[in-house]
Amino acid sequence: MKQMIRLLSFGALLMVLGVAVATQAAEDDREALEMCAVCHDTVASEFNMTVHSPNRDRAPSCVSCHGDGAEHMDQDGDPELINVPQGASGAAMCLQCHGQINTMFSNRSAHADAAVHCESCHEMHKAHSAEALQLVRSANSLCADCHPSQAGSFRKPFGHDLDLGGLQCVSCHNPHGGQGEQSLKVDRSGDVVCVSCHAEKRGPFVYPHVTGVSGTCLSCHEPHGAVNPMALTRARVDLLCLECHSVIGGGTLGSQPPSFHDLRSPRYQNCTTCHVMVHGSNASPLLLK
Amino acid sequence: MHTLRLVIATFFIIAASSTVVAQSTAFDIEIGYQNVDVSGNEDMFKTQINQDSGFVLRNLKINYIDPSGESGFADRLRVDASGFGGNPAGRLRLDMGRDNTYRLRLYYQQLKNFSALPAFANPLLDEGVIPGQHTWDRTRDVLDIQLELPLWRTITPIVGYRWNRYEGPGQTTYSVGNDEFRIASDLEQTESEFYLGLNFATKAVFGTFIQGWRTFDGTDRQGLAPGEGVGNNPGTSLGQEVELDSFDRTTRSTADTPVTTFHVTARASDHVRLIASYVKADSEGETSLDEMLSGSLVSFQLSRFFQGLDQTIESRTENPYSRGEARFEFDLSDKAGLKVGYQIRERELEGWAMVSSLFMDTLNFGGFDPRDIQVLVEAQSGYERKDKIADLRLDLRNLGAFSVWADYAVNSQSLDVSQDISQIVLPGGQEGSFDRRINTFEVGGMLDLGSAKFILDLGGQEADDVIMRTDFNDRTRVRGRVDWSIGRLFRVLLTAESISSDNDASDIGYQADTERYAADLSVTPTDNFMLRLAYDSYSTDTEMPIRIPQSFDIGSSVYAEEGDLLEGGLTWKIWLLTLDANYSTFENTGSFPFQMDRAFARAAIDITKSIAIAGEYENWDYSEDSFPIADYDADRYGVYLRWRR
Repeated sequence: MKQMIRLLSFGALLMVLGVAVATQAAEDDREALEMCAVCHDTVASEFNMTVHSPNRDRAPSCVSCHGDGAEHMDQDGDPELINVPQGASGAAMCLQCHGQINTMFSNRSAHADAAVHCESCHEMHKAHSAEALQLVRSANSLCADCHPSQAGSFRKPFGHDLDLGGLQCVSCHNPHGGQGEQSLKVDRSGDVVCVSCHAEKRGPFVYPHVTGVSGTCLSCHEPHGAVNPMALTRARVDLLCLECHSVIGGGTLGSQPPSFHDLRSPRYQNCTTCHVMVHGSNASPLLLK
Repeated sequence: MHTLRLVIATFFIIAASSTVVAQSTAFDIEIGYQNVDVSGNEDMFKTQINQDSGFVLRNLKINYIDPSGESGFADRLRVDASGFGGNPAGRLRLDMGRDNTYRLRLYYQQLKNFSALPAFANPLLDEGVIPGQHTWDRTRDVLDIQLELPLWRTITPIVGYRWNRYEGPGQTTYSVGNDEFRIASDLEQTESEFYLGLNFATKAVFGTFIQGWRTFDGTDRQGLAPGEGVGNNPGTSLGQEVELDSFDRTTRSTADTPVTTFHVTARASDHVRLIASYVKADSEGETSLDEMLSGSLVSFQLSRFFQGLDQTIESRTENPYSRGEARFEFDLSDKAGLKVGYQIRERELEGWAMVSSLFMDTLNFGGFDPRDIQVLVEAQSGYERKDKIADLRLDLRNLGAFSVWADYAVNSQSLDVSQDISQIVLPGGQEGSFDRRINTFEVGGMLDLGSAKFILDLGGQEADDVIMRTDFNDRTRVRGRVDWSIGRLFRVLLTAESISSDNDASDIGYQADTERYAADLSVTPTDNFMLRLAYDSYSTDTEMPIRIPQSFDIGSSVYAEEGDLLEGGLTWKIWLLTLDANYSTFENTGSFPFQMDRAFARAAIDITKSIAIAGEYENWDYSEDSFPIADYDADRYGVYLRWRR
């Protein structure tokens, strides 16, 4: 019992010391901000109103990212004598706290290479940012800067709506790197991001079609924008289907439609007129119901 | 509309409460009314754009920070919302919290989906029947709530709920006896997931464990669309008119999926990280379908005419999935990093269906042998898929003005598909074992000269076999980009990309090529004026042999497109007046020629420092060469009031 009391007392002492150290550190952070504010008053007042405010628990201060500025101050604010986190080394600085961003997906992010870093999209000091997550501008316009071709694809007549209240690029892509190709998100159960919204396509189906078996939604669909009303990768449905469903030589997955499917008749130019459950069926192996 | 009112009411409550607390609150709200006028094909307009007359929340942003942490309910709050009302989509995001107490994230989205397409799934288009067969006018609502409780320094409990509802009317087809009938559908589907978990974080190890329980419940009630009993085949089958007098079908599907995710990161040192994750989801589904119909019908499967059908289908599926991953990341120096990973994914499916069909009042094709026929079919299906992926990435950065990177990955796929022999009714590959190995490489580099960046990357994939005919066995991508700017005055972005995929096996002969070129120029001579010009050009050319069903001859599926997008816009602020204008024209030639022009203009006047009124005009002009019946020209006029602080 005495040992337990001693142990608890020691633990309590450690906690008090820890709190005291943390309080002192927070005090130091606030002092640092006040010193920097002598010259950088606008930045400091903005910064104090952000989620990074040094008044907040476990928040960074000026010195957390910019380092000790004593020499910088002594030399009349020589910009060469202060660390300005940028590029890969700047990202490493951010990732000291935002580590889960790095570790969840780090290997798959094209942005983790050399070209795009935290400050390319996020503005750390800005308090009254019009955008969430301290973004410099809207997420869609930031993406379009470097991906103009993809932005142009959304001008096609059929596809997802990126306008007011619709989807954003980051609805499907993780700019920090996704589990799928093209930094696509994958939902928690390993399914392609599409079924996060289109839940009815998730299944499971007794008679599945492509998704999960040997492809994904993207095997047939062009989600950014397409010339087919169902955002298919081909203008004509029958041609899209027959590219897999043609037995020439054999050895691949996909059956040959029977001969009464006369493509000269309009009703057979759209396979989904009859095969209505093309995403998967629980009732019909031919996906008819 | 209810949602729009709710969002606006929420804004005023939050705005009022924040002023009482008197901390740092910035907000920006713009709301107005728009009128939409469509000439031409309104269904096509709704399918593509779906703007409607009504009130619209143009923008709502609230950013509240209490740097002192003295506020009672939250020391930070962020609200973003837009859309709703006359807009086909609406979004509301709330993120609020208090240090060491809680963090609440809420996301709500509403999407209106409309589809009624004259050229789609409509064999009677040539006869002037306009509505497509697969049409819908449905709404999807998605709600996502997550609460984190950072009550302890190392462990943060998490609780969350996600809800996704899709409902509304639609039309589909029922196919029987060489005829298709239009069926009216009333759909209600809900997917929801409740989850519990925790984040844990120490100096060296942190991660997340979450256990979720996802359920799906969907009901689709279908009946014969009014006046559609004659079907779409004007002729007879074996001398008999095929007609439906009545049709009723109810399909109910449920699925339960417990989902477990675990992720942990350990920092062995400042330069070495070890990452591991594991995901397991065991989905089980059940479906029951009841269908009753009567009429004058033909079954080629039975070789009989029949007067009615009473069918029930019961089915079950089990669909387990798991993924495990381990990754090591080494910072070799501040200029070099090496990452190595290995991942295994496994997915299985076992399906079972029992179909009981009672064909009533049947006659053989000679008109004899009247009787009811009961058909029972029990069938099973299944597949098993395994992916093993090993990857390696090396990046060298800050080598003067250069940075370079290289990736290599090997994906070994293994797939076994099995079908019940009674269900294989068509020739070809409906089952089998397939193995495929894909090697992927990518190399890239950047030259950063300060005001100008040059980026080039080259990627390639090689596969030793294919599973589907459209799988490539060789794929190459080259992409280059230039980003040149002169301060804020001038910025030009140039992008060029070429992708080539092929499968040169003699029985496949698949070839697909895509090229894209884009240029984006922005000029900002003063803070009050910005001009933007953009040009995007792409071409795609795909060809592969197909076997034509009616003749079994070899033909070609050819798909070619060439598109050009030209866009220009300006923003000009003249004292109290701000002008925004944008015009784009998109012309597509090839397999599906069309042209779509969009024009947008907005003028906003600042009445006071925080209040402005704005007027907007937008035009969409769409035309198709092949189906001019789809053309439309639509205008939108709107008046908005903006208040910001």
